[in-house]
Amino acid sequence: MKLWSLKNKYILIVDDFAGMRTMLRNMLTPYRPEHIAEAVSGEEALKAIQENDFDIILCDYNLGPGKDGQQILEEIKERELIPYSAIYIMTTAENTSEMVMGAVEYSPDDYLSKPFTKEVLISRLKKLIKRKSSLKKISTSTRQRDYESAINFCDEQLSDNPSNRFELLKIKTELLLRINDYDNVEELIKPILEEREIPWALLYLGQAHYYRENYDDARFIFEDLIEDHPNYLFAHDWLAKLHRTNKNYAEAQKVLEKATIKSPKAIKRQQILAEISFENKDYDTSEKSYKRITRTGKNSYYLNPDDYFGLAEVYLKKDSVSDVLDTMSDMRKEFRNADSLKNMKSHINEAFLYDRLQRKKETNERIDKIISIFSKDPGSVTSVDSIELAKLCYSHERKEDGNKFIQYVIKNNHDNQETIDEIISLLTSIGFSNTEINALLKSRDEVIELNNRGVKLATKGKIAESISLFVEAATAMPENHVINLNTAQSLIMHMNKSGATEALMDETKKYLDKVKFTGKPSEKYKILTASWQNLVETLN
Amino acid sequence: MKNNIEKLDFSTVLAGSIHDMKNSLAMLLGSLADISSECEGVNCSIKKELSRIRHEGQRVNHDLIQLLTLYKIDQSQYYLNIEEVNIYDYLEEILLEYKYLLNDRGIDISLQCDVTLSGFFDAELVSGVLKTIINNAYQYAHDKILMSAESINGFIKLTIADNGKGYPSHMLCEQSVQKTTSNFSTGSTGLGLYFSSQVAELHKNKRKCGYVQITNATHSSSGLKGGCFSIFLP
Repeated sequence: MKLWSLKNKYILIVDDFAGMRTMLRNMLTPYRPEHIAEAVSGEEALKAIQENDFDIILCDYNLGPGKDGQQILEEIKERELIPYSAIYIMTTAENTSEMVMGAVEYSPDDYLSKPFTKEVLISRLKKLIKRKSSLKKISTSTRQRDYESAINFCDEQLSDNPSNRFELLKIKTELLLRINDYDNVEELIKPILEEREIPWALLYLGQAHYYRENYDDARFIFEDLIEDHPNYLFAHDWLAKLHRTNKNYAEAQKVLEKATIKSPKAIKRQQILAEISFENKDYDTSEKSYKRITRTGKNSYYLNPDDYFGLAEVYLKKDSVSDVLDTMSDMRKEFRNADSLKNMKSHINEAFLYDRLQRKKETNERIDKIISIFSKDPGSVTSVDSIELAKLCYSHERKEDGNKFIQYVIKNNHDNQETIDEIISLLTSIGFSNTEINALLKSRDEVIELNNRGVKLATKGKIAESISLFVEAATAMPENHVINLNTAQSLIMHMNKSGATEALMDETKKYLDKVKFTGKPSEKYKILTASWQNLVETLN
Repeated sequence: MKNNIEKLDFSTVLAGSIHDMKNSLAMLLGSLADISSECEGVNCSIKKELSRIRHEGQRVNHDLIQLLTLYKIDQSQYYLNIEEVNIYDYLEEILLEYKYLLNDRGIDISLQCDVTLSGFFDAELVSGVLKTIINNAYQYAHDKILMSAESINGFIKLTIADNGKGYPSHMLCEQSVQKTTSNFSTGSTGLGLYFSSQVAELHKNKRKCGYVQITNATHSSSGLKGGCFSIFLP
C-alpha cells in the first residue's frame, strides 16, 4: 500500500505561540511536506500568503493584538489570495459552535479544537484533501460562473448516493439560487425538510420566497428560524433585509440590533445596522454603530472610508461640525497607507463633506488631489463616483475637470445605453447645450474606433500590437467590458500560438475578473474563461 | 474611578480562563506526546507513567469543556450547532485520538459502524460526551472497549461498551430520573452522566428528544460484558 504523505505540499502555520508552531511542525514533518512556513501574526501571515501559494494553512483563531484568524480568512477570501483548492483550518481553544452559526461571512474548511493529537490532525487533513478533490469539478465551474455545468456535476455525484449527500444538496441549492431558479430550489428543499428541519434548508427556502416577492411566506420562515435557532445570525440578516425591502426600517433595525449584540465583531452586519438606523433617523444608534465599526474594525478588511464618511454624516445631522472634522482627520490617518482605492475613496469622501460644510477652499484642495491621482491612475475612481465628482466639479465652476470625469464614465460604459442616457439628462439639467453634449459623447466613437483597430490587428495576426493597444485602452477605461474581454482575448490568442506562461495567465485572469455581470455572463465571457481553463491544463 | 471598570459577566471570565488553561494543556500534552514518541521502540521505564500522565491531562481538558458547557446550558447561553456528521469518520477520529493511550494501558479499542451511516447532531458537544465516557472506561475496562453506532427508530444510537466490572447499581437505578443525586466526590462518573443527559436533551427533532442509557448487560454483537453507555440522538 502506498503510504499517505504531504509530498509537494506547501504548508503555513500561523500561531503567536512559538511552542505551538514547533509542535505543529513536528506533527507534520514526518509526512514530508515540501515546505513549512511560519507566521506569528495576521500581518505576517498575509504577507506570506501573497508571496507563496500554500496548499494548507493552519491558523490559530486568537493571535493576540492585530488581526485574528477569522479576519485573515475574510481578507484572503475577499482578495482571492488563495485558490479554492487550498485548505484553511482554524485551530482554536475556544468552543467553535458559536463561530459557525453565521456570526461570520466565511467559514474555514474545518475547525480543530485545541488540544489535538497528531493522529487527529493527520486524519482531518486526509479527509479534507479527499473532499476538496471530490468537489473540484463543481468548484471550478462555479468559479467560471458556469452554474449550469456545476449543477450537472452536483447531480452526477448525488446519483451515487454519496456520504456527503447533504453537503452536495446545499451546494446545489446555492447554485440554483444564483441562477434565480426558485421553483427548483423549492422542489429540492421540500423533501430535505421532510427528513429533517435543517436551518440552511429553511433559510434558502425563505430566500426563494423572498426573491419571488412572497414576502409573508419568507417572513414566517425567517421568524420561525430565529425562534428555534436564536444564534443563527444569517436568519436575522435575511429578516432585516426583508423588512428593509418592505420599508419597515424600524423592524429591520430591531432585528439587526439583536444580531449585532451576538456578533459585535462582524463588521458587515454592523455596517448595515449603521446605515439602516441612519435611514430611521436614529442618529444615536447609527453613531454608536459606526463608532464600533471604526474601533473594532481596525484590523478588518471590510473597514472602509465610507464608514468614517457615514459617521461624519451622522455628526452633520447633529450639527456637530467639530466632530465632523475630527472624523475626517481620523479617516485620513487610518487610510494614509492604504491601497490607492481606499486612499482615493477617503479623498473623495472628504471633498463631498467639505462641500456640505460649504468650505470652498478645502473642497477645491481635495478636488485637486483627486484629479492629480486620477490622471495618473484612472482605475482609482469608479464610474459611480465619477458622476458624483463631475457634479461637484460643475458646481465649483470647474467645467473642464467635470468633463474629464464625464468622459471617463462614457468611455467605461460606451455600450451601456442606460448610463449614457443618465449622463445626457444630467448634462441637460445643468444647462449644457446639445453641441456641448455631442462633443462629450464623441469619446464613445473613439472607443468604438479604438476597439475595431485592436480587433483588426489581431485578425491580421499582429497579436503583439493588438495586445499593447488593448492593454493601454484597458488601463484608461478599466471598467469597460468590451475592452477587458478583448484584451483577454488577444492575450489568449497569443498564448494559443506561443504557449502559456504563469505571468500571462495571471494577467489574462485579471482582465476576465474585471468583467462583472449583474445577470447571466455573456457568451463571449464563457468562451474566454473556458479557453483560459484549457490553457491552465497546458501549464501543469 | 470605579465606574470606569466594565464589569465582565461570569461566563466571559470562565470562558477566558478556560481558553487560557486549554492553551497550556495543549502545550503540555503536545510535549508529553513528543517525549513518549522518543520512548517508542526503546525499552523505556517511564513509558507507562507518561501515558498515565497524558490520560490525566486529557481528563482535565474534558472536565474544562464540560464545566464551560454545563455553565452555558444552565444560563441558556448554549446554542446547538447541528450538522450532518459521517459517523464512521467521526468515531474513527475519536478512536485514533485514544488508541495509543489505551494500548499503553493494555486496552484494545475497536469500532463497529457502517461506513455510510450519518446523523445530525452537534459534533463537538457529543464528542465531549463520548470522550468523557472513554476517559472513564480507561479506568474501569479490563482490556477491551468497543465503540459502535447504529440507526434505530429514527434515533442514532452511539454506544461505548467495555468489559470492566460495570456501573454500580445505584447509578443504574438513578438514570431514569436523568439527574444524578450521588455526591460527585466518589469520582467523575456521576458528573459525566449528568453532562451526557444534558447534552442528549438539547438534541431535538420532530418532537423527539435525545436521551442516554447505561446498562451492565452483555453487548449483543461483540459479547463484551461490562459497562455499556449509549446516547440516543433523534
